[in-house]
Amino acid sequence: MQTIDDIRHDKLFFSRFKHSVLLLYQLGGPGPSIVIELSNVRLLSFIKVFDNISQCENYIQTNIDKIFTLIIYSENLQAWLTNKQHLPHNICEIIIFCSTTDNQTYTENWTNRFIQVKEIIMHNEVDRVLLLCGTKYLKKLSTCCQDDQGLLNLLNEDYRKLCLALSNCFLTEANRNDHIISSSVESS
Amino acid sequence: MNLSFHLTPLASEMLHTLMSLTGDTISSIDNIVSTSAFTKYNKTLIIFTTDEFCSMMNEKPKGLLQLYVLETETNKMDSGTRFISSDDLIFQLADDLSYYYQWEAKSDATLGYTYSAQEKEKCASNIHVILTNIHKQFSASQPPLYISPTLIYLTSSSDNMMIKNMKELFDNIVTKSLLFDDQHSCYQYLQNNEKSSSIFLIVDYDYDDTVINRLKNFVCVKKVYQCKKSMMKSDTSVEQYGEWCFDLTHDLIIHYNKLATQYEKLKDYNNAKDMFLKAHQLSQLLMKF
Repeated sequence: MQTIDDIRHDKLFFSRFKHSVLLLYQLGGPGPSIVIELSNVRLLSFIKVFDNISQCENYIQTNIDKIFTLIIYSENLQAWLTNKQHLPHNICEIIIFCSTTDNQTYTENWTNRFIQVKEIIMHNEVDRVLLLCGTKYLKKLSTCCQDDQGLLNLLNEDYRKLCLALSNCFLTEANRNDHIISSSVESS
Repeated sequence: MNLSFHLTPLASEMLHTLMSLTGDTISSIDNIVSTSAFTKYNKTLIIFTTDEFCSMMNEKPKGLLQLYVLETETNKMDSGTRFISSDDLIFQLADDLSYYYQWEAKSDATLGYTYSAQEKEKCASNIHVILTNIHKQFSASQPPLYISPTLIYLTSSSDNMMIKNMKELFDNIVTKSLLFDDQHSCYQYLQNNEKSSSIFLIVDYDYDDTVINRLKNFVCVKKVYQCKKSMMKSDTSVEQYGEWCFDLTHDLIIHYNKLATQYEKLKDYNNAKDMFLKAHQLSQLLMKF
């Protein structure tokens, strides 16, 4: 089984771009520690992972000329805002994942004020939402480097793979539901 | 200040809980007509109040650190200090409380006041836990958030090949779609369906910003996409359509994913499966853009 820990950031390739995608998941808070299963870690090399809030914060603040998409555990965002009054200005987009549905509903209301927050999802959606986030990110990068055909080819190749993985992910989910339907028919 | 009558039941409950949690840190005072009332507070102040009271405040009270305002007009809203929703305002109070309690805990700890530091830190980290519990009581009766999307095309000329092609592509996936060729009949439709739909609107390139902005103002309109005039007029392949097609497909995938997870939660597995299949089809479409 592969998890967030297995994501290897391709620094050499992605550090040339102004926009970066970061994922923060620090365990050890009061809430449950959930293992997040990922189906395609190899395609997620655009993500830089942090398991420590202050390291992540430090990285964002020292790279002031960059902009960031941040994918963060709800509890980590709460801890972050307890220690710092504001989020850094160069975070342009936030996706929050939650451990329980109660927490998801709460987080939706709590973060309603923050325009950077784009999506609030459950932990079992992280796999497909990371792929979806990747398609958008790579699409954006490829519009910024239209003159470099070599770079463009690499990005387009990865983009295609992400779309494929994403469509497989949704098919798996559909089949899983189909399974539940047929097994409930059998038992009744 | 003067907020009690402007709070939703949820905001009101949150405020009372925060007050009982933090002792005399919060004072909730109503029916204040003059700012002289502040002089008795020989403390640093963070004021949460109404826009009415705010406009009455001629001079800044002594010790004022921050002012948060509950606005009545949407256009005055900003994401930092002026809010339309009283829930948002009270959440800001909660965030400020947890921040300042944590801050004081740190400075107490450096001064050697270990007990006080621990108490304050406990309070700071408890705030979200306690508010989550209040939310549970209020959110039980909330209706489902997501409904099936409708695609609306607003064209200016009926022979726009781009829109025709797009409609063909999406009609296989998004079951409900409509086409209008003038903005007024489109407005009319949106007005009548304000509450019951979730609309993604594709607008032809020759409509101007006044039309676009008016469309965006309908609550049921999720997003408006404006076609760019294609550089290659003869080219009808979808690959040439550019960014807005990607955005639309991407947004629809997010929407169907939300719908599917919502159906799963309601144990409606048939619909969940269908929604996942739509997201699956759209992901294959995404590859083309």
